[in-house]
Amino acid sequence: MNRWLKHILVIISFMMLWQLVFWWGIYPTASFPSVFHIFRALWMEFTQGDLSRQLLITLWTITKGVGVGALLAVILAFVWRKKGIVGDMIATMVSVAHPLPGIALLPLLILWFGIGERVIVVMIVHAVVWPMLINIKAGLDNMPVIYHQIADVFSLSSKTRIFEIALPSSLPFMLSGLKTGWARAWRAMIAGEMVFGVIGQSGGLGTYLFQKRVFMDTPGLLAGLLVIIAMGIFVEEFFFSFLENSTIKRWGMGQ
Amino acid sequence: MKVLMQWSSLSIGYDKKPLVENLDLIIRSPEILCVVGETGIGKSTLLRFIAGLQEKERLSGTVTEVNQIRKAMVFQETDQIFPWKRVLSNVMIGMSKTTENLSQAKAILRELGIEDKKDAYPYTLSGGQKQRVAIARALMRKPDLLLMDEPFGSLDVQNRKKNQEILRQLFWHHELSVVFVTHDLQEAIDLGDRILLLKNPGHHQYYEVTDKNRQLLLPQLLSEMRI
Repeated sequence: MNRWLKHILVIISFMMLWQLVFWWGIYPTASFPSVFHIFRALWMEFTQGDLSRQLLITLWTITKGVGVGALLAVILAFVWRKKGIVGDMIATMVSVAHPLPGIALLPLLILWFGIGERVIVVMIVHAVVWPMLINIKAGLDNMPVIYHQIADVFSLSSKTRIFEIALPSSLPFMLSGLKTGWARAWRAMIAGEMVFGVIGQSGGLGTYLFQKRVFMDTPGLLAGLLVIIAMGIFVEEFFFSFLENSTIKRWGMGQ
Repeated sequence: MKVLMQWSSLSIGYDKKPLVENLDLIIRSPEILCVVGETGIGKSTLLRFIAGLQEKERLSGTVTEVNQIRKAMVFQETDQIFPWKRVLSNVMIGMSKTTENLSQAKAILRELGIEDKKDAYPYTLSGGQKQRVAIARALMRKPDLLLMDEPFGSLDVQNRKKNQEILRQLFWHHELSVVFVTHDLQEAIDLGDRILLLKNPGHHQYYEVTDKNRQLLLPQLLSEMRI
């Protein structure tokens, strides 16, 4: 059976189970709405509420954070490859900073940068930069020796070596780092927005969720969760597949 | 025939242990010089050394080059072609995309019989075609000296014969100096104008290949290798 058909069947079964529990009536309707209420809330929030605006805020913020994080990771990876004290410093920085969850940094970031989108972007950069850096470094280290030799024999310029050989050669590693970075960033992002939702600042899906809880709008809250799940699936299943299909798979590289 | 490059009393090796010792190496222009010898005898090391990839392995010796000569190399591995670049971009790597360069690249691909593959990604090519792309990339540099490290070693007999034929035609057309490393004695005899047989450090021998001795060289080389 088709993979997607299986997924859809499981989701439909889950929704039927949910609806059965609702009909059973053991939980109050206010905290356990029916499937129909949830989808109606989803429709209303998108058409009349501000769910689409909040979704766009979240996507825009995370795009900025991931973009800056990825660029920083590429630059740091090349610096790391240089032998000597700077390389050692980066290696130490990676081992110290990588295990640190982004959300744990939030109180400190608020002290340093105040409240607002900037803090969330910094948190996303932190979530993305370390796993990507580790992967790009591994990609550069694993570049076939023959590529170096070709660059030497043909006296290729540094620009050609970096942009036309080293970076595309480590792209499979880079994409795998981006996937890990994205997963970390997405979680940190929602958590951060939710914290800011508490103090009535910023926007985004996390803030939206928090506001729905405050107003006891459980169908709206679940609609928000559905959007978060759908976005996660979209990026992981479609966006990354698209990136891979248009690059490494198209080139027959694989991993 | 002029001399392109000349080494006197050349010794190269690793950790001060010579692989090739006291070799007088003259490369003429044009010619195909085939380097043969058993596995591990130092054929590839010598070639990479001439290419400038292993300068630190030089133990002693002096070099006389006629002016600054342009070198290009074709490696043994079929993955020397960058998979993310189409054939034409592979051939033109590091060169500006001027109309002149583009038409030259296409002309070389035509000469090598793979012009129709110019927009293909390397994974769609056969091993023999990939090697021809590598040769095209080397020729784009208009080299005075083309270094080839068992370029057809991983190909089946048919493809190898075809590529040898193409190389021979290119050689005539471009008046190249080629140093061709191979472990296949018959290939060396078919292709070479001269053969350098590496035996042990300090023991090596040159053979001129002529139409007269072509038939007799194989048994002679075989018996020399056993000594």
